[in-house]
Amino acid sequence: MAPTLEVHDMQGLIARGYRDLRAACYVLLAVADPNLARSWLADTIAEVTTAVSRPEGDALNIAFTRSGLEQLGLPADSVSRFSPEFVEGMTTLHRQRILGDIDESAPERWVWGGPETPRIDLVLMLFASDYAALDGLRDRHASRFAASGLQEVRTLETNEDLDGLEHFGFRDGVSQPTIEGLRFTDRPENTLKAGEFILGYENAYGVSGEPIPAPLADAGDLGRNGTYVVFRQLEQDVLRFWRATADVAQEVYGASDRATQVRVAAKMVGRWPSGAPLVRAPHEDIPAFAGVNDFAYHDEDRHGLACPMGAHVRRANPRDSLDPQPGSEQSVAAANHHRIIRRGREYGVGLPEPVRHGEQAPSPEHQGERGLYFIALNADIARQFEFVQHMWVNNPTFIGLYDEPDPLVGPGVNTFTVQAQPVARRSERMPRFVSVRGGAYFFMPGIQALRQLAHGATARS
Amino acid sequence: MPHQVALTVSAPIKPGATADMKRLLEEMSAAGACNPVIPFARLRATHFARLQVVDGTSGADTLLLMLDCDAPGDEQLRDFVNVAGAGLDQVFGRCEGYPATPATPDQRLRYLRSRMRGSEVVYVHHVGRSLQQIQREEQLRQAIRHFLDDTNDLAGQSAIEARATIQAFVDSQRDLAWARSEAPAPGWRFRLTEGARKFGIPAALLLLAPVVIPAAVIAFLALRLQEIRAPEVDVEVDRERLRAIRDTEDYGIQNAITTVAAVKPGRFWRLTAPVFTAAAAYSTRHVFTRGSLAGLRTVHFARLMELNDGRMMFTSYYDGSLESYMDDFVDLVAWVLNTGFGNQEGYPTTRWLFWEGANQERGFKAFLRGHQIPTHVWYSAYPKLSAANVDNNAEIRAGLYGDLDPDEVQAWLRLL
Repeated sequence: MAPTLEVHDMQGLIARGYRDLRAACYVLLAVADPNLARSWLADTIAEVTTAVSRPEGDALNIAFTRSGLEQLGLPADSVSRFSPEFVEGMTTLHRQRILGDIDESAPERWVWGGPETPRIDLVLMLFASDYAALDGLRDRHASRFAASGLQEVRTLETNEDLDGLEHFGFRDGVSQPTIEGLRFTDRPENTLKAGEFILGYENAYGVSGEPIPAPLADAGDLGRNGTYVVFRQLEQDVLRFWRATADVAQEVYGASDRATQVRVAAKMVGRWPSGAPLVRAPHEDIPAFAGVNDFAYHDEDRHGLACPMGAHVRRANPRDSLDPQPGSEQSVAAANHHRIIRRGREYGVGLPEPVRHGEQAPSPEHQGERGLYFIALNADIARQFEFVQHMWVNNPTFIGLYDEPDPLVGPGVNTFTVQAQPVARRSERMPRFVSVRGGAYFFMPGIQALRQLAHGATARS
Repeated sequence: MPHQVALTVSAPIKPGATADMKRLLEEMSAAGACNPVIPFARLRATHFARLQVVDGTSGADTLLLMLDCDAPGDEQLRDFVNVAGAGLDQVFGRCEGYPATPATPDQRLRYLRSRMRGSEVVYVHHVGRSLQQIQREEQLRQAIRHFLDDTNDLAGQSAIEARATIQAFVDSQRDLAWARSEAPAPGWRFRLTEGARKFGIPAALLLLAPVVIPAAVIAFLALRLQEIRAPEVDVEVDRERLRAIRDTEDYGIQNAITTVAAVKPGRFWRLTAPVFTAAAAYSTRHVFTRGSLAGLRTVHFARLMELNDGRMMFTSYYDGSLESYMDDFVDLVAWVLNTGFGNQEGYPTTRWLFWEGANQERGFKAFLRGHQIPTHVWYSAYPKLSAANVDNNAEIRAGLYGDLDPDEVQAWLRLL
């Protein structure tokens, strides 16, 4: 029996990506005056979009870093009850290793969230149906920051014009877990307990976690109806990516025409540009299969002849391919203990197809950084986001491979194997295409918890 | 080929010398496998090694030297003394009873021998696979793989032709001549005694069935009673301490772990502790000997050892992160852990021993993390190979020249 979810107390991003609100920006803020900031929060709560229904016109969500909770006056013994990953932050030495945030991706080089950049206390996520409306919404909020004890550290602008594709030219975000009891029903193997993503509910192990005590007596659980937000700015080097596919195409298939390049890129991703999974469309893109997501790897392609064993989507969610009994329900259940909800959006100017493929030179408007604001929601950062990143995506020995991290997003990739008959082909010429430019772990509280955080003001004044 | 042996040297640290000892070990760890004190990388037949301080509860702190190596053990101990040289004086010079430094090589060897002790439970990923075999088979795979990368001739070939091409390549390589013969099995004497033990113990139990069965029934009922009465004990997890340990993990694909925990209090647990140990020892020694721990292929070597003060120490070298290691146990083989750890303090409550326990995720993770202590120095002879890689390499070698049918040939090519 699915639990009744308190959707009125959850922020809306948990339930929806607001895809029809095409314009979005993320305002990174620091608290300069805790008292003013608390009153600001108290005033803003009414505008926070909840999970009750699809927002019309615009949406607003708020999430805090650990320092943000501290700034608002949450006592240390409450803060310390949040998960260790959130409390310690994304940039510890150990996390740099497991997340692959080294070399070009090292936090010292980040433009926000790193040790050399200003402190981030909270993120205000704004969504609107178009950019004119977004500007209005943002200006309205920004005009209040100074008087509300808030300092704008940086605003992350998104780009709506990629037609549902990410910058390399692939449809993104096809596979998402469905939260049991939230909005709609799905195949059982893709339906996960609410507690996997929302604090205060039963998770996959049948437990709902320790409550996080609010400072006021009888104020309940600060964690309830909240979620942890993993936010990372991932820069994509699109030209380097497509140049590399030409080299790999030559090595693996002995040809480097555009169709072969796309084929190699699809082998790296595990889906074709349309989103069609290689497992179902092994030889060419089949746009009719764009949204297909009910496939299994071990069952349909256990040797990786269609979708390589090391392909990005096969790593990010191995579905039924984990040991010791690949193909079993147990294997699917084990993989499902490491799912995340993705709410990311693209930023930067997209490159037209001819430019991506080197058939046309980039023009001045194509200058500048582009990439993805990777935003993932989960209830246990260590077991979900970090595990996926460390044990599957970055792991050089994932599923029996040798010295081969993710070909698309892995750190310092050098080998990529394409399983084939009679023998697998390999490329050892893979550079890094994606680097991290900023990031932080946030906590997105429930509405009641937001009130608790804002309440500190009245309690103290 | 030799079987593997687990060597342990246990020496009490002189009063007041522990801090210095830990500092020295820290320096060695930072300098890695070629550190000037004990350059582990020069050991000839040692798969994994560690130097470990265990803080005493009442008595002296202890330094443990643990080697997982190929038999004969005494030969590897001599090799170790030889490789460590004067470095051994630096390390063990801080322990009780060590001769005046500089010690002679003979004195060093005698000291280590005099401090040897056994391990109660020893797990070896694949019994009988020597270090030389592991290293050679990786060399073979790399040679074949580079040959395949550099040649385009195979594209149009059938599986059988492709294999023949690879065989011809290996034939042409003098330094791969060893690959033409099968990997040798452990010596007959070892196999004979292991076989006798493997079947002898169940046979003896069967003979004693009239005694054993009622005893087992009573023991299980008593166990169930303990389980029902047992209060859920939350293991205190000190985040700062854990963070410091975490900072030493995940430098490569392999990790080492050490936990120390007391046996649960009370007469039942004290009386049954030897049974737990014996059952775990039997299954690791005789059942899980061929490349997997109940289906898990991520553990290279592991041990359970009773410390002088009665606490149980668990050590292991495994692939992946601690989080993934724990998840495997939680999700996949909880019962194996229950039988090995179910009698330790703070372990999540089991039901008839085999059920629940480790599959209570938070309780199990708190148990393991709460009892984790730093592994001060550890060394792996093949840090880039996962246990699955090592197995795959062995299959490549085994199938290179064997008699295979066409399907098997195709399956063999997939290993490359």
